[in-house]
Amino acid sequence: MLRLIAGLEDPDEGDIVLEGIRINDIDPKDRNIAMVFQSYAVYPHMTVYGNIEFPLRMRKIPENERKRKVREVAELLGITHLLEKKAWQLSGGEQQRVALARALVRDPKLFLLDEPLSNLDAKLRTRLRFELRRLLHDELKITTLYVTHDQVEAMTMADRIAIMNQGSLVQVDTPFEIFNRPRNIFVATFVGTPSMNLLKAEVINQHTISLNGFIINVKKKLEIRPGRIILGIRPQHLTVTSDGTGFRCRVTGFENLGEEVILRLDTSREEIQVVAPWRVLRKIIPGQELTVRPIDKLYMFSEDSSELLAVIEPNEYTIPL
Amino acid sequence: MSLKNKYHVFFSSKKHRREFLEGVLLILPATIMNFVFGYFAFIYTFYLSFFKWNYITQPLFIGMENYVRAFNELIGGLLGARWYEAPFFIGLRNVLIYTAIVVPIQTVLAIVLAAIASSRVRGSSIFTTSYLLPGFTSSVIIALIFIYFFSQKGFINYILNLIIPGFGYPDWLYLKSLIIPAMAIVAIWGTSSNLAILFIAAMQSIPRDVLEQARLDGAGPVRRFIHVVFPLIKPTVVYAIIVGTIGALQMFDLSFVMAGPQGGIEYSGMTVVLDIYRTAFLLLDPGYASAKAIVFLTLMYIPTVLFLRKYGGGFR
Amino acid sequence: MKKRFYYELITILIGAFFFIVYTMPFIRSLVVSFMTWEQASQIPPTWIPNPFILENYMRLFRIELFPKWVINTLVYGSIVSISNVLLGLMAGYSFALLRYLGRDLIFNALLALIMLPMFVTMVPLYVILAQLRLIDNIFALPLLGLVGVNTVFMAKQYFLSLPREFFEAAKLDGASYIRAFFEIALPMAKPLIITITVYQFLGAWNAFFLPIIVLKSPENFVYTQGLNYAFSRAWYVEYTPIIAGTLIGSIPTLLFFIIFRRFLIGSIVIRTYRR
Repeated sequence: MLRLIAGLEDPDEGDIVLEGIRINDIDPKDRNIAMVFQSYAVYPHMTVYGNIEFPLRMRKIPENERKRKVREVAELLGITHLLEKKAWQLSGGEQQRVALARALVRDPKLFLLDEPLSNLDAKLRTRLRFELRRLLHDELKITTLYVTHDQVEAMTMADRIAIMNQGSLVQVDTPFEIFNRPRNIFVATFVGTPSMNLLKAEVINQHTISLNGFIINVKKKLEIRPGRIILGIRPQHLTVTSDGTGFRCRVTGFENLGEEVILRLDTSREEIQVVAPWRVLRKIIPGQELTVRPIDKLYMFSEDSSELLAVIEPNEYTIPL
Repeated sequence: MSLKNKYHVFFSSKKHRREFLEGVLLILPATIMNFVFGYFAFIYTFYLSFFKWNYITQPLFIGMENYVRAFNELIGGLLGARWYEAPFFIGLRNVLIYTAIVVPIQTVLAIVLAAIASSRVRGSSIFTTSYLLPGFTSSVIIALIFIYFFSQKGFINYILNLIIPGFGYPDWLYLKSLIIPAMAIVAIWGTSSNLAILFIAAMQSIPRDVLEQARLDGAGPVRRFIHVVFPLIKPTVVYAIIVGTIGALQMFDLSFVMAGPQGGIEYSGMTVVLDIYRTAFLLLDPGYASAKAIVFLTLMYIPTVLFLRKYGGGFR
Repeated sequence: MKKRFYYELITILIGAFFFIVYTMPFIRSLVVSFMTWEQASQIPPTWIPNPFILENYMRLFRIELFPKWVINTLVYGSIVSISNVLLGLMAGYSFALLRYLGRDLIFNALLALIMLPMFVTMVPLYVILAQLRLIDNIFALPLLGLVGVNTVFMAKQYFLSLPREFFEAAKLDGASYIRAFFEIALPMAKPLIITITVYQFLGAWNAFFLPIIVLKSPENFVYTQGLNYAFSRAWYVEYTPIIAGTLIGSIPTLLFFIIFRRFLIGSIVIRTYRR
């Protein structure tokens, strides 16, 4: 996708439009699009200075100006002390900054980042995530296209997220919309950890949903034809009940996260996960039976197309005792 | 993307035109040089083979006559023509004998050398260096050294008399029956190492865990070699035999140095390529030389193609 | 355990045997080059030069053409090394990293030329050189060998093995393909450049077939050709100076081989892998 936009590959069909101009046939170097590769592609035989200066040299910018611009960018990214080093001596994090600097130095119209953090260790990744957003979004205000497989990166950094599945675009929306109104099951299970539980359910009439015999009464009128659906409930939106309301499950295992516990439960039809406060763990042993009930949003998906049919807010349904 | 679409994209977009122009510019010197000295020269040879010429006067078209002469030499030689009437036949016979000696021995030897080199026993790296050295040395220099060893009171006769008492002291290079074997010995000594490099590379590319698995399965070194290593390097063996054969059939410089440009006593050291060289540059008959070259090229590649058909399964 | 010891012992013994077989001619030559011809032709052979003489080398250097042959060979080797590195890498880079119409067709046509032996083309080569008035001119040899198909092939394989991103980054940074070749590809190809240089230099040093076709007068000869000429003209009834000459002729080979052994074997590994 990024390679198409950058002009490294040709699309089979369709147009690529940047600021109202079709750029399919424009040379990559004339598109003024900068890209940071996953492997950074920092030229190993040049110094850091040489690397950052390279795009300016290729654009025949006079020497004084090149010097000034390289210094500026280096300062911005805090790599001034590295300028004289050979690129192959750098660590992964340093290389990443150099690659960024090389892309930034020529004031691109569009900035493409291809999983720039995926080669770094977890701690550095968290820090740079924050820094990158501050730099690109708040300070330089450059339009940036950022490819990632990490949903946390996507949710925290983006103004708008485009979710792609097998080469086609599924949904483009703000992080809030993506999380609260996922267009289909793919998007719904992609964001949020642990991922959303999917339960086979049945719409009985316009006010009733049956979950393997467990009945949910919906106050508003459902615009869905009676029949089988997929009911999506986030693990955080389920709670273990002590009064026996809800549907029965058997505990198959749990993961202790400290504050919270992820319970793995077997409803006899499917495996689900529930995030519960740590104190419930003391009462639970594997194999034990307990009841859970939804306390927050319910997502209804079509069984055939997996498209989102409706979202039911917590105040729109009740569970009969 | 369909081919038609490809053409369309190419001609319509400036981006692709530039990539084409720069790409072609970069390959231009290499392509022109090799096409001129390769394809053009080849076609020119084919063309010349139908002419009588002496480099100076106007070439004279004589049809198939050069080819008829070449075949007459071959058939005449078979039917027992005198040596001076059939250098082409004698060259072919010599080179076939030479190839039949050299190729099997050097291939086996190269595998043995490569096995020792990759065995990691003590001293194997010094061994490897010594095995590979002759391959990088000029064949002319090797031939000149061995001329001394093959002299009547030379080193080879001395060693042979130590091993086989009463072997005698033949003068190898001046005996019609021994000059080709002498060249074969020099070639085996000198070129086994080139093939050994090939086999070392092939053996290095065998995954170590395959060998270790075989060892765990209880196979000794010899059985490991026969059942694991050999099947895996078989494509290289096929390749080495083909390359070795093609190289041996074209033998020229050993013969030129050890027997002389005229092919030695009664052409006893003649080879086909030496005969072609002699015809072209000493007898000044480039048309006939070209016809011989074309005939020999054909004779050389027909068996190669057949061999590849039969054993070349894992090759390529 | 004991069995393994015997296997190792046998391997070492066989290895040592071939070690002797492959070094003996060089060692014997070295020893003989310091002997008088009288002593060198004794049987059984003796091993300690007595008297120890440098006369064989001195006689060689007294041939006035001898330095000329060395210089000719060096000129030939230098030109083909430089031209093969430059032109071969250019072509290999283009074949490996650019995409354009007809690229693979041309590459395969070039590759097929490996199958074309020299004896088929030698007459036309001579005629072409004669037209260019380059017969008996040392520069004819590098002209024929400016850029070998082997070099192009090796360079293509090398550039295919480098990460594509470097060249894509250069493209986005605004470098033309030719600029990227000089700025990125060439500096990143050091091991390849060393390998090609060594191969070309050794190839020139060992060349024989083309020199004897092209070069006519002794003052234009290359080294091996000159040495053979000295031998065949029976300049010496004594053979020991020729032996000394072969040893001098082996020095560059020996040097290159010992310094660059790793590169030479490595490059062949690459070649067989990709076949």
